[in-house]
Amino acid sequence: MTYRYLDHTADAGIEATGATPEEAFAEAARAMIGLMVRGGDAPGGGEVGIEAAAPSLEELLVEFLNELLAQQGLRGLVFTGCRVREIARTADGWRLSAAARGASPAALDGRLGQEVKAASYLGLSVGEREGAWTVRCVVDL
Amino acid sequence: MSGPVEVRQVSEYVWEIPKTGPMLVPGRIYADRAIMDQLLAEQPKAEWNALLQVRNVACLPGICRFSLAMADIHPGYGFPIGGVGAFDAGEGIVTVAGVGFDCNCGVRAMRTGLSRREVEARKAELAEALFRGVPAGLGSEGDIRLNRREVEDLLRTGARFVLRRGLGIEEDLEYIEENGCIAGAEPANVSEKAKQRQFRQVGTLGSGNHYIEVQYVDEIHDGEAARAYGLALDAVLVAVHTGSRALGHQIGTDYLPKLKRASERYRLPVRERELVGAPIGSPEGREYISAMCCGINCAFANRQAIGHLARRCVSGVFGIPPESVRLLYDVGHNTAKFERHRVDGAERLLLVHRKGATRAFGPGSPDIPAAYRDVGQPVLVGGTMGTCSYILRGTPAGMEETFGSAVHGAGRLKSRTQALREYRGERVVAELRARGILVRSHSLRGTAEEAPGAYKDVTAVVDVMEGAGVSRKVARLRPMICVKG
Repeated sequence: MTYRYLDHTADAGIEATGATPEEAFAEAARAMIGLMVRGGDAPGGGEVGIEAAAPSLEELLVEFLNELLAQQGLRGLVFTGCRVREIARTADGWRLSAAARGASPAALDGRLGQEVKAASYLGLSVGEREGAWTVRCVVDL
Repeated sequence: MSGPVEVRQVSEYVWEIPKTGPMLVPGRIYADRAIMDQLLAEQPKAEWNALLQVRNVACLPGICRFSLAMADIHPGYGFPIGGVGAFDAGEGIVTVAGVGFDCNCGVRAMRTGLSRREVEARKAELAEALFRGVPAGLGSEGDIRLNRREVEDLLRTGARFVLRRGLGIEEDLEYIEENGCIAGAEPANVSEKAKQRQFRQVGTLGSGNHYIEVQYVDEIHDGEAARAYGLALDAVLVAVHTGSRALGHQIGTDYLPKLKRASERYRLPVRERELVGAPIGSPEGREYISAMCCGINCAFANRQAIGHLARRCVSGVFGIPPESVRLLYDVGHNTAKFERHRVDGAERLLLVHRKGATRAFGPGSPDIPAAYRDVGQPVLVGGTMGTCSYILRGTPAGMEETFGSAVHGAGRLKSRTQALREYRGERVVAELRARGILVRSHSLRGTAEEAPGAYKDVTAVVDVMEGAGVSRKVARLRPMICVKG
């Protein structure tokens, strides 16, 4: 499980890998979170359930990352970590279930970076090769 | 249509991507040799590059005359940043990529009535007041708390909503593009989630390249326009750069999959995944445009709120009446708007997308304040916190060539990851302090990413537009204080 940032002039490309789609998606979330906050969880942080659904795995990645951004905004939190519980097929595509941990911005003072505005379709891919899943997308800063 | 994009030079500052294959119009890029060399050098290295994006936009139905890019061009999502695409209102399309996730992000500039010398004497105090007085940074919340009904009112009425809350003076509205409220906004087409995300976000600056800057005029290039704009040497201004905050981000997020499905339904040529859209007259197109207009109004309201908070800070520090800090102009650079333009001798109604490009209407336009009508619209161009910014004016040539559009900033040169490798936030702040520029930031990492060296030379960028005749320099502004999110 790992992630790296890809050069994009104005924003940030993310590439994440894992042995399963769940691991790769969780790494992508870690990469996006890493743009917003450095370091691990903060004391007193809570956990938030994240649900997403989309017709394809690629769109599911974008839906998932955008749902993370929406939920942290709605709850007045900054997420510091995320665990993807399950990615499963549905009758009309895919669904994802995850849990994100976060803390108030005040609790993360001195560790905060950029606000991520949204995950985009640019450079979007989800693929499996020889047992390793790799996902990519560009997020807007 | 694959392989590197070919360009040919049309004139000293204008380059063309010839119309080939599925392109419906040629591409046109405003650039000098150095900017073009940089764009060409990026082509083989990057899977997403700006020239390819100019070419892809040229393939979209209903595009009029050219797929344009201003001199601050760099890669975006589907559309290049600095891109302008005007689409026939009847046959054309609307694309979310031509607006982006920060709908109506823009710049507001206010004249303080103070001189550089007066502000220098209390610069640290003013920097602290602005840093404390305007909510900024990741996760920040404003003092204006709204419920759903109030958010919907804000989306319909824009800056006036904030004015009614006591944040502003009536005169402000006259000096905002569209008078701070664009027609056609329909809050019913904005998701509940988007509205909820805005409950505590009005009056927040955000982060990244958003800023409040205190600047002084250090060069006047056009005396007549400067007089019309109320600018003189050493006059101090406050500039605000921000947009539609979480509501705008959520509108983009919500409509991206909707317009993807619409692109499939109407068989639009999607040459990059983000470049999705819908025919302007289709149900999907009309719905997105009405939601986007809500985002435009949200940004007008946000800049109105922040502008007035900054005005109060100036008033408090210098003991001057708040109303003596007067709005010069407020204009967006991420919009798609219906405008009438003359094309090949005939007036046409077009949906003009400006993604990282500023509206720059020339003299005589009824859409600009009466006080500026003889000289053209002020075009606010943000530079970097270490160099300078510019106020330009729109020109008749710009109305002819670029649908009344010009640059919006310096344009990034280095990626954020590259900037983080090369700069340290503490060092950037110290170096700027040594040069007399106070930076107050909620994120030192963000400061490193926004280091002046990460951007193109803004003077070279505005010189291209001036050389091409599309806009004219009026005044150069030097930074004194920069507050970053």
